[in-house]
Amino acid sequence: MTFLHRPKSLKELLKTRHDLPDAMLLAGGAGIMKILHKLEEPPHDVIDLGGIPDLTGIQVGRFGTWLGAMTTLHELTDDVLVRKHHPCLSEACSHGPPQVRARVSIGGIASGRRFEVLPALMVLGARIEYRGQETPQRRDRVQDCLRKDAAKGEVVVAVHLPPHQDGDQTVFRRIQGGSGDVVIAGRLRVADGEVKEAGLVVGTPTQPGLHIAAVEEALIGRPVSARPISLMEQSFVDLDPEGSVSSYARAASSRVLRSWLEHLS
Amino acid sequence: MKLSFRVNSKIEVLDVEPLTPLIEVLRDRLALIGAHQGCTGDNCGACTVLVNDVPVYACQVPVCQVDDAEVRTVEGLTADAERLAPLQEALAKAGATGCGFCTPGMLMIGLALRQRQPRPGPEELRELLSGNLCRCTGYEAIVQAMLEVME
Repeated sequence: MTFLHRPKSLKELLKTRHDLPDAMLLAGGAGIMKILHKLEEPPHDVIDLGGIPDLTGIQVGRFGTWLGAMTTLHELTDDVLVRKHHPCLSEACSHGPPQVRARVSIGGIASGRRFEVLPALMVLGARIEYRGQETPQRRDRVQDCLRKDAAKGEVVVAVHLPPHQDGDQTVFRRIQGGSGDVVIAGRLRVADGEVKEAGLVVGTPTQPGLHIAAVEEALIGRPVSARPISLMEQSFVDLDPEGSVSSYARAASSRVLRSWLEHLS
Repeated sequence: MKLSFRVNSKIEVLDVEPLTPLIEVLRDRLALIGAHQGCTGDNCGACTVLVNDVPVYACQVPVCQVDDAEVRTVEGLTADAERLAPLQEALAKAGATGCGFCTPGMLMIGLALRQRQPRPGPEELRELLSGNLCRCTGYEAIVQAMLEVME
């Protein structure tokens, strides 16, 4: 028999999580059936995160964007401010069946569900906020969260994005690979006629957040004459759709870098 | 645990295990067999129902998540069991049903889109239908029939 716990506030949630550290968390619920199929018996305790106002909502301000952990991908694509300030994320969240997007929560993204959203979050410099009753609040970069699980008793409360600045250019593309899809998220921050920040992240189903650090080294400080980010689109056109996903991803990222460099120099 | 929710405007109160898939509750407990259990793995869309007007895969939703919610299944498309709803009629007339296994899910997507946007374009409809598989019709007849009704 499974006992369902329904905390109504963040405080109540943290206490429940502390008291039942082995309980299964039920967020959007999009992946729970697959998990249950793998278990020999159903979990004894489940904590439903659905009724907690502290975990919902989207706030965009001059200090950045706050996305409640229970915000769904569908809500993110529909939100006017997210579309305006973070089009890369909005585009990333728009892929996949609507029945799934209606339930996948942004807080659960670090678990790898919907691999295409992770590159967008990484390239935007997103941080995931964890809270626990007896652990200090912390905000970890998405790429760090992929490498380790939340500590016992902790829950994901929100995802934070740094504020959009003038001169930020982002792009997101999902392209057909040989044995699966590849997504590429890119970002350039241009100011005073040169690249100040750059990032390129490639995602595949097996490697959802491959950070191409060489792009940053090659681009930062380079003078800019136009909108180099737009060249990224051209660089996807004639990629060979044959071969493995990883070789496809490498080819795509090197082509993006080459086109940016050619344009900048 | 005891759950209460509306299905096609009728209040249902059930004592049920909280993680039971919604599709099993609909079919086995409430005898609403319109939504089909196909892949059971968020691929085919044959089990699509609306929860608070949002399309979901009923095979992937634990029933505890619809507590206090409004669920609509294909049986709720029309109040008169002897008559077809306009969407159903359009699909039947256009020969857009094939074997019929995917049809209930397709109809629920059509209903969701119609509620959201009375006159959608073909791209919006195709995008929303992207989570529903049909192996008979090639989709075109379904899209055309639905668009005609919505116009």
